[in-house]
Amino acid sequence: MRAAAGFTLAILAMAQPPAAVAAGAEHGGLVPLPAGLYTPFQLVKAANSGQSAAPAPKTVAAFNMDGEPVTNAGYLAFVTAHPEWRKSRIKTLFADDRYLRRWSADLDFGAAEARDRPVTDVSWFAARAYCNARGLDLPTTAQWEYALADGGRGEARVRARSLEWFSEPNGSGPGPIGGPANGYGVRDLVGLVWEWTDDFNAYAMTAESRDSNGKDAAAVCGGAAAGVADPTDYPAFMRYAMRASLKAHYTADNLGFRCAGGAP
Amino acid sequence: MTLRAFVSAVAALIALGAAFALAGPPPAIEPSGASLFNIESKWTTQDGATVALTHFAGRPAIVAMGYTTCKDICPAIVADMMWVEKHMTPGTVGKVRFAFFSFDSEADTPERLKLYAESHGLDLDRWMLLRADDAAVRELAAALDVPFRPNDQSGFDHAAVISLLNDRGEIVFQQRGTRASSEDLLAKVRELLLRSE
Amino acid sequence: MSLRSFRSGVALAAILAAGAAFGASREANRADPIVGEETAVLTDAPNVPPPIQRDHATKVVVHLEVKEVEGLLADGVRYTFWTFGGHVPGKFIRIREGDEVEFHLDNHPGNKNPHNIDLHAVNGPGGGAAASLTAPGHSSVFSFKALNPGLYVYHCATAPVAMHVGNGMYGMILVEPKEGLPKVDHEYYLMQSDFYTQGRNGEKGLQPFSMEKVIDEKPDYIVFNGSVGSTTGDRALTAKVGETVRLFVGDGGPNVVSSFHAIGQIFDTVYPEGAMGAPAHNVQTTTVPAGGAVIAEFRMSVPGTFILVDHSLERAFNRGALAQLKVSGPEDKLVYSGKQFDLVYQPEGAGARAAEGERQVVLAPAARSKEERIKLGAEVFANNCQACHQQDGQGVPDAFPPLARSDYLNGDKIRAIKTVTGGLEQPLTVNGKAFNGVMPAWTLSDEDIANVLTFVYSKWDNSGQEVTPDEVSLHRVKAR
Repeated sequence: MRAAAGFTLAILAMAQPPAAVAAGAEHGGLVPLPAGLYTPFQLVKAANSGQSAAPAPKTVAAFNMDGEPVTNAGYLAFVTAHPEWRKSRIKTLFADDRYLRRWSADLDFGAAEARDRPVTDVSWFAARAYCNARGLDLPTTAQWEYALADGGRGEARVRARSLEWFSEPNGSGPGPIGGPANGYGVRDLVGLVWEWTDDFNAYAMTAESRDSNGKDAAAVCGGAAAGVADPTDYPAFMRYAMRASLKAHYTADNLGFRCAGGAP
Repeated sequence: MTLRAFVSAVAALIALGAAFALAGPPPAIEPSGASLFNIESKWTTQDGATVALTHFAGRPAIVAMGYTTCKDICPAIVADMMWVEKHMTPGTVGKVRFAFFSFDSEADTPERLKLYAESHGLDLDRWMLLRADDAAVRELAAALDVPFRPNDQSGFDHAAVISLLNDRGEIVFQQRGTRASSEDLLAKVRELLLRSE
Repeated sequence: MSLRSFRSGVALAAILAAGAAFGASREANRADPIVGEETAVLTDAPNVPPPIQRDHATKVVVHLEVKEVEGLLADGVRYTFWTFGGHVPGKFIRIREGDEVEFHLDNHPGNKNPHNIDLHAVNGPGGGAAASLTAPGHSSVFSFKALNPGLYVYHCATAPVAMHVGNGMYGMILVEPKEGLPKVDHEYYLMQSDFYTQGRNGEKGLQPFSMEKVIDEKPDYIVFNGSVGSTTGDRALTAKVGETVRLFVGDGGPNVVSSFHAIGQIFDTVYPEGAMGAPAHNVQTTTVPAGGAVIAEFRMSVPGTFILVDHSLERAFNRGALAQLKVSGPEDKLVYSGKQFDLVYQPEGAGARAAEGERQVVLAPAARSKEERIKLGAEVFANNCQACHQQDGQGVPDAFPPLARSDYLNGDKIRAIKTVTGGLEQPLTVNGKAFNGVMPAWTLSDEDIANVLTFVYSKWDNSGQEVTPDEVSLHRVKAR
C-alpha cells in the first residue's frame, strides 16, 4: 500500500520536468521472470559443521526486473523529483564523496552520450531510494543471479563476455546499453557495469571470520575454492568478491544497478 | 564578569543542558550528514512503543544487531555489551543507552524481546530491544555495516558488530567480533563521556 | 695473498658473519623498539631500492596503488594488466628486520575490481589479505611487524586468485637482516610469471585472459618482468668484469615453477627460497617456486652477454622466459678461452609441435610488398629469433650461429626454409665456424616464415632476396 502511494507520488513528480526526463522513461522497462530453481554459487556450511553443504537448488518466486540497467537519464528524473538525493545534498551516511562524480551539476549528467548509458557512482542507499520511488526494490542477489543464469541457457556467453569486460581498458564511463537480451528478455547484466543487489553484503561475513565464526570463510577469503558450487567459474567469484568489498555508502565508476519487485 | 563568574555560569549552562538531555525530549537539532538519525525507519520496542532512531539522541548509545533465538554469536554480543555496562562506574553507567536491534522481523515480537531482556537480566532503564520490518532491518544493517543473511535453520548468519554512537547519532567506534573483555570499547565509552562533560 | 684471494676471503668472512646473525629470533624482532618514521622508497623492476643504512627498527609507511592498465605483453600483443604500482611485477619494497610497516593499499577509482594483498613477509591471517579487501576508489590500512628476514613474494589474494595473479598482481618485499646483506656492485629485481591469453602465443591485438588455459595450466607466455623482451637488448641488465651482481629473483606464478639459470655464469652464492639461513655456493640452476623467491649472487669474470632463462627450455625459447645481462670489460682467456662453452639443453622442436595439437593458422596480415614483408618480418624476428641470434644478427660465439653475412643462409634459400620449419639437430659450419647447437622447428605460418626470412635477407649485408609464402609452403618440412 505504502509502496503504491510512493509510486504515484513519484509519477506525479516525474511528470513535471520536460522532455529530457521523459526520454529516460523509455529505458528500464520491467520484464517478468517466471518462478524457477536456482543453485547458489556459494555453499554455506551448516552451523557447527566442518563440511560444506551440497549445492542445493533453491526456489525463486516469479518476479519483475528491469530489462536494462538504470540510465543517467532515468536517474536524473529521480533526483529531479527527490532533491535530497542530488549530489550537493546527499548525506555522508548515504554516499561517499564520489557520488555521481561524473555529473557536472545536480541536474546535469555531463556528456550527452551518457544519457542512455548506465548510471554509476551511485551508493546502495541511493539505488534503493530510486527503486523505492518506483514502488520497487533492488533485486536480491538470488534474483539477480537467477536472471543471469537464464535457466542455464547463457553460461558460456556470460563467462566469455565477463572476461572480455575485465580485459577492456577502463575508460571514461560504461559503454552503451544494447547487449543481446537473454532468454528472459534481460540484457547487459554483465559487460557494462557491476550492479548493486539488495543483500549485497550477505556474503561478506568472511572479513570478520577471525573473530566470529564466519561460516563460509573458505568461499571468498584467501581464495580456497572448497565452498563454491563451481570453482572454475571465475566471473562468479569476481561478482561475489566485488559485492563483499562494498559498503552501502560506497560508490564506484563501474558500479550501477537496476530494480526489481512484485509478482508479474 | 570575572573569570570565576564566567566559569560558573558556563558550568551552570552545561549542567542545565545535561539535565535536559537526561530528562527532556531529544533536542530538535538537524543531524549531521553522517548521523544515523538521518534514517527515518520506525521501530517497535519491547514495550510495544514506536520509536525512531532519534530516540537515541542526547546520550551515547552502545548498539548491536542480533535475534533472540540466536544460539552462537548473539549471546556473546550481549555479554560483551553487559561487560562494558558492568565495568562502568555507578555514576556514569546511567549516561549511556544500550540497544539491541533484531534481524528477525517475524519471530521477534515485543513480547519475545521482553522475555529475552528478562532472561538475560537486562536493565530496561538502560536497555532497549527493538524490531522493525525487513526493509528497515536491512537499511540499519547497511548503515551499521553488519553483513547478514537468512540461513536454512530459520535464523541468520551475521557478523558480530557492536557500535558506539555519540549523542548525535554518529558512529565513533566499532568492535567487530566478540571478546573475552571489550577493553577498547569501554575505553572509547569513557573517552566519549569525558569529552561531553 | 693475491688481490683476488684477498677479495674472496673478505667476501667469505662477510657471509659467515652475516650468516651467524641471521638467526635473530622473532621474539627479539617483535620487541625491537621503533625509532622514527619514514616513507618506503619503491622501485619498478629491474631496479631495487638502496640498501638500508639504519641500525635500528623504524616505522615504515608503504603506499601501494593498485592500477588496472593496458600494456604490451609482447610485440603487438596488448593485455590489460592488474598491477601493484602500474607495472608488472609490482613495486619492490625494502625494509629491515624488526621494522613496523604501516601498509596502505590504495585501489584506484578507475579500476573495475576489488583487490587485496597477501605479503608472505607477514605473520597474520591471510598475510594481510583478511584485512585488505578493498573496493575500487577505496584504501585499506593495516600494520605488521617484520619478524622474519628474507626475500618474500606478495600478491593479490582476492578470489579467483589465479586470475588476479594471472593478470600480474605480484611483487616482492625484502626484509633485510639486521646486519644487512654483503655489499655488491649491482642489485637487480627479476620476476618470472606465466600469462594465459585467448589467442595463442604471438597472436596480435588486445588479448583477454583465458580462464580455460589457466585452469588447465597451459600458459601462452612465460616471461620475466611482465613482458617478452622486458630485459633484453637496450633494456638488458648491465655490469662490468670484476663487479658483483645480486639478483632478487621471484616467481609470481600463478602456476609455473622456474628452473632459474644464467647461461655461462655460475651463481657463487644462492639463498635458496630467499631464506636468510646458510646460503648454498657454486650453484648452476636454482628452483624458484611459484609464490617464492631466490637471491643469487655472482662476480663477473669475463665479458659477454649472459642469458638468464627458465631452464625448462621451451619456456625460454618459445614463451619468452629470457632476460640478458650484458657485461663489458677485458677478456680473461684463462677463465674462458672461447672453446669450452657447453650448451646443455634439449629443446623438443618436433615434440612442441605435437604437443600443440593441430597447428592453428594465424590470421596475420598478408604482406603486399617486399617492404611490408620486411617490416612484418622484423616483428617475427624480435619475438622468435632475436633471443639466440641477437638483435644485430651476430649470434653468440660457439652457441648460436650468426645470421649476418651468413654463407649458410645466402647460399641456399630452400635450405633456410627447411631449417626454420624443420629445425636442426646436427653440426653445421657457418662462415667457417663450427656450431653444434639445436634449433627447434618453428610452428609459424607460411606468411610469418616468408616475412622473417625476407627480413633476415634484407639485413646485415645479406643477399637481399625475397622469400614468398608459396615457396615456404612448397619446401616446408612437414610435421612428424
